[in-house]
Amino acid sequence: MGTLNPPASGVTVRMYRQGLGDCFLLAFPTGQPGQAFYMLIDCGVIFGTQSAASKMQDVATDIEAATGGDIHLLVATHEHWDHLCGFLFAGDIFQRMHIHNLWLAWTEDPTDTLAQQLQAEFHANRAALRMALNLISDPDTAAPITNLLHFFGDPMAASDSGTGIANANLQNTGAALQAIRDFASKMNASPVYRHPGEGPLSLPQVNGLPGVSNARIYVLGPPHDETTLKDINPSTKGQEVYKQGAGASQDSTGGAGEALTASKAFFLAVLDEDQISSADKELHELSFPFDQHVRISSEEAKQNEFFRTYYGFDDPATPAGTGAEQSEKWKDEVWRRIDDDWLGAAGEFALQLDSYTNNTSLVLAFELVNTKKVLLFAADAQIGNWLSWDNLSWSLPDANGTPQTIRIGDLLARTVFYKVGHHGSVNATIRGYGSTPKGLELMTSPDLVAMIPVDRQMALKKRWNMPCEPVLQRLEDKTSQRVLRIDDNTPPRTQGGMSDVAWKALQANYEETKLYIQYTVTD
Amino acid sequence: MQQKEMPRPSHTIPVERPPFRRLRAYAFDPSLSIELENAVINTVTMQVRWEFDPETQKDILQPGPVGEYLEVVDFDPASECFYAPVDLNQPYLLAQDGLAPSEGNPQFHQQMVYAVAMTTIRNFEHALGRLAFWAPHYSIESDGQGGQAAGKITETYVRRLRIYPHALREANAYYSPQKKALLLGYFPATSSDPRYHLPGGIVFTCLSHDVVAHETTHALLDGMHRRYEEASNPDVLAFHEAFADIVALFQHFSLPEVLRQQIAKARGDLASENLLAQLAQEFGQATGSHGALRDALGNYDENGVWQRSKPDPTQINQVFEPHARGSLLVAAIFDTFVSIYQSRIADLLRIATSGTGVLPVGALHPDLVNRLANEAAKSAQHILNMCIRALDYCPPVDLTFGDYLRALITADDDLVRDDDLGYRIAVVEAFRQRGIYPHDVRSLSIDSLRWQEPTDPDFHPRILPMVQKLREMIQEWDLSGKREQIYKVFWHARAELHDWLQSTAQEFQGLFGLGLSRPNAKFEVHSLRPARRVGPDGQLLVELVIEITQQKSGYFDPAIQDQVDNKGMSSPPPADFIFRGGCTLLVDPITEKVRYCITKNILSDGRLARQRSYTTGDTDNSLRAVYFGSVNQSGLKEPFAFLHRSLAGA
Repeated sequence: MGTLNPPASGVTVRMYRQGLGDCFLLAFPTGQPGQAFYMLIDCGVIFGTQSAASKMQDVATDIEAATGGDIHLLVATHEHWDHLCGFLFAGDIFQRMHIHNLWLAWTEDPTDTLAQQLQAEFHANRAALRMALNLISDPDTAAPITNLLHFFGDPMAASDSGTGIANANLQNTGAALQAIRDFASKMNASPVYRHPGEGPLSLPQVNGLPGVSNARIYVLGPPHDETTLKDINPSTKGQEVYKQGAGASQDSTGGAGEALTASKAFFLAVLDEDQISSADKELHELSFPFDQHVRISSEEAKQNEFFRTYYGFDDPATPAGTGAEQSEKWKDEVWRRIDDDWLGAAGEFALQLDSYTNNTSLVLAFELVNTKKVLLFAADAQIGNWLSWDNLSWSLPDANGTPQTIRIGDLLARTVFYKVGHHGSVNATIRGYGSTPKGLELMTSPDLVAMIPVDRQMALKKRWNMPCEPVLQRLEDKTSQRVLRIDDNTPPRTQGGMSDVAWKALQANYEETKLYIQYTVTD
Repeated sequence: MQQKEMPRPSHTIPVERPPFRRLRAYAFDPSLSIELENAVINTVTMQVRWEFDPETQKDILQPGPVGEYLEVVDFDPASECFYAPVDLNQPYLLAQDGLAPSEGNPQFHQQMVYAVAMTTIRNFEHALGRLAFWAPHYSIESDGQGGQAAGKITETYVRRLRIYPHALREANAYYSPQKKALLLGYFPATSSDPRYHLPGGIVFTCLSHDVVAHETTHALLDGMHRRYEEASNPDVLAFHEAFADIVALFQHFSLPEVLRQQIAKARGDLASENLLAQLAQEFGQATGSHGALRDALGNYDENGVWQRSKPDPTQINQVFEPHARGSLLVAAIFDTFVSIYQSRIADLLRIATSGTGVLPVGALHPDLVNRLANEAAKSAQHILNMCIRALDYCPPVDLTFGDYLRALITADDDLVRDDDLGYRIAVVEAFRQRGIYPHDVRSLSIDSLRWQEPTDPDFHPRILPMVQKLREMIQEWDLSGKREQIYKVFWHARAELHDWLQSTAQEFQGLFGLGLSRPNAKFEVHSLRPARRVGPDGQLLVELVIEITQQKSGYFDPAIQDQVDNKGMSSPPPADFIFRGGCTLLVDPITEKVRYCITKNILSDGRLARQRSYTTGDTDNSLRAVYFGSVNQSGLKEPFAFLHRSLAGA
């Protein structure tokens, strides 16, 4: 363990190997030897990872040693456990370090109206999903939903932040974000909320540290638009991602105070009457398919001969599960009842909620000024986030001072390092429609190297398809086999299928330990 | 109708029971009723068989409706309430063809699901010439101590399919093989185009004619082939979806008013965009897509313009999501229909146009429309019967589209010897254009596609005792009467055949695609049913369809597989997947010949390897599959819930 030294010109990227989750430490040279600018992007590991706390402690300890305790810029991309839990598990270490600047996406901005609307909706949906989960008795139905909710930490922890639960086992991403804000406020650094289209930005100034002159930052996402944020699925044509089958159609997660949406109707059914806010009372009534006067309550139905015969109920005289025989009339064809089946839809909504959060990812591109090489950190951005970059443009004076317009295509063409989105899942690295290439297809540099923070075994345990095979294959084509994965337990790395040129280039700039994989891009 | 027996005056003239009960329903779904052009045809009166008990001759339809085949139970668990069952025997309802279409009256919903599901059942029974059965319920007996005693499986007869018209509060509808029930959902529309939908207005899948017909078909198919919900290759689940779509589609042609209006509108050209070729308009629009949920003819392009889709033979190797893959089969069948229809109306068009075949501008003459509609209805009925009848000629497990093509050709050839209108060639042509081939034939001629009679000279002598045994059994069968009794007759016959086969199992080693060489090898007489066909001289023949199946443990690791299969590993590890094989035999009890023996060999290593690579493969890369697993992982409890939820589609 020692100080992480960047190259004289360029940047060094260290990917930690804590498991399925993101933690990237970047070091930029300041021109002053021995004084680097350190940037940390996320620090987390997936819920349910074995000895997660000690793994995150190890990571944080290394970060402290590598940076000398100064993180000049901390970037928290989005509110997911596998990106943030390190700030809880290694809270003591981060507490004693110095966080000089904090960047968050605009979606975390308490003064942004849209952000606040989305946050309110998000918390309400999360709470309702937790309720739905409590109602599901079949463990096979519940498991995938629980796994999805684990992206927000412990599903049983309260969904609002700052509840002050001391037990780390009962915490969630809200608490992690609050912890990050607290670390920063210790240094009087108030969070800067980044918006797409900002840039080219210089790396923030830090007292006592010379400025970084060889890098600038472009902010790509998340889009400041509700519809795009909720675009999480490949379209029915399914051409924009690397996949074989046709995609799923979509259903928006719903707008507050507007017409009734599918998710709202579902969640209203999950909540108890007294949990429904007065604003939602009207929608609650509309969510019933028929007028009040035709509804027969379960209590009435239990007295009704037809429903007793053809549906059957648990006999109140002999409650189910007591082992006592139900009387003939009541127990008929229990296997045909449908009390819980409708809750299966919760899976779909949990998926939407989770993917929506991924779409709120703060996506940054770093450009090295001499060689114009670009490093792309896509966090967990999904389709909507990727597609929104097309609408962005930046202006940068050329050598003669004439302003030049830069668009996403220019940045992607010069991308030599790609932090693969969402652990290599199908919907987080796009390819474009038919003849219009996008995303990865526009990354044409022969120097391209990709890093995937993925642990295949852990993903399998959760029954998730990460990394997705077609995405992985295309990445390997594009990078001449230089795809660096957290779970690649094969040090010393071998040439494998790499060409001699690619292998040499990698070897010269690459370092690997049990704790991290590190790659340097020279400028 | 249950009436109090009144003393009758002696001169009363008895009134015969009507053959049909007339019930009103939406022809498509409520969304078309708000378009002026289609509103007139969107209410149809369906003729549903008047249900009575064949023994007692008493009417049996009860409030629900609950009849011989169906029980509609209206429980809405999301709303925690029930809706009172409709009594279709109420005099006021009898006098006005049931309730008028209404979205706000749950009893109309009950009436409509009953009418549509009964029509679908009738189409099945009509094509197969026998009564329809639902898949039986299997329960594992408990030992009373919370455990499962030696896995003794009990088969219980399921008389009625249950329909829950308001079971789910989501954009979904599915058949549950576990519960032998249709679970139909409702949801608020999220239409991007409020012309079609009140945003937030409730859409009911149970009011979509297509959705109900589609789901009922899933249940009917499950009743015949319950292994077709196991995705042992990419075609199996796709076939389930395709078949359900085919039945729903061709049911459109049994509604005369709709047919005439659409033919007039399309000016006789059924290859242009028309409602008949589309499924679930309202569902499609309400979930935010451009037109219907599925269209057998074409799709809307990015600019919202409808385009006739061109057959692309490469797609069969690229599309694996079951609905999308199934739509290739649907398209092939629909193409067959269009070409048959076109050849049947060619003369009409010549007559109507003095030989030019070019129709003048303007509306078609109503007489011509009627004649065209007639031809369309006949062609559609023929294709539908052909598709349903082919089910008797399919292997019991691991069906492929290619097998189905062979079944279609053989079934039709058995029924109609003389193919003077070239129907079978039209089928092969349409399949060929979509790249759908069987992999085990040398050419695509009708002769080679037809299933072959067993040619092994040993086959018939070895099988003769079995056929004689069956013949003996048949003589005791009483095929009239109640479904439950017929079911029991066949259940006992299956058991008897099984015991008899077991005692002589080694005799059949290698004949049926079964592994019977080991003593006490387990197998199942999967199904036994009569199939009717018309002989060459027009006489009605009854044949027997016998399906025998077997299963063995499949392992992802070929080395373990080899150990277990060939080296006699003493305590094999739990199976990674189940590999099934078996055969469908069509036996003519008069001539005592096995006409076809359609096998899926359990001993085939090639097939085992294919299933292994499919099960472990990455063919489903939908976002949902990232978190919820994919359809090719077997052992899903509710395969159709999964399938349908993943598409937000029925």
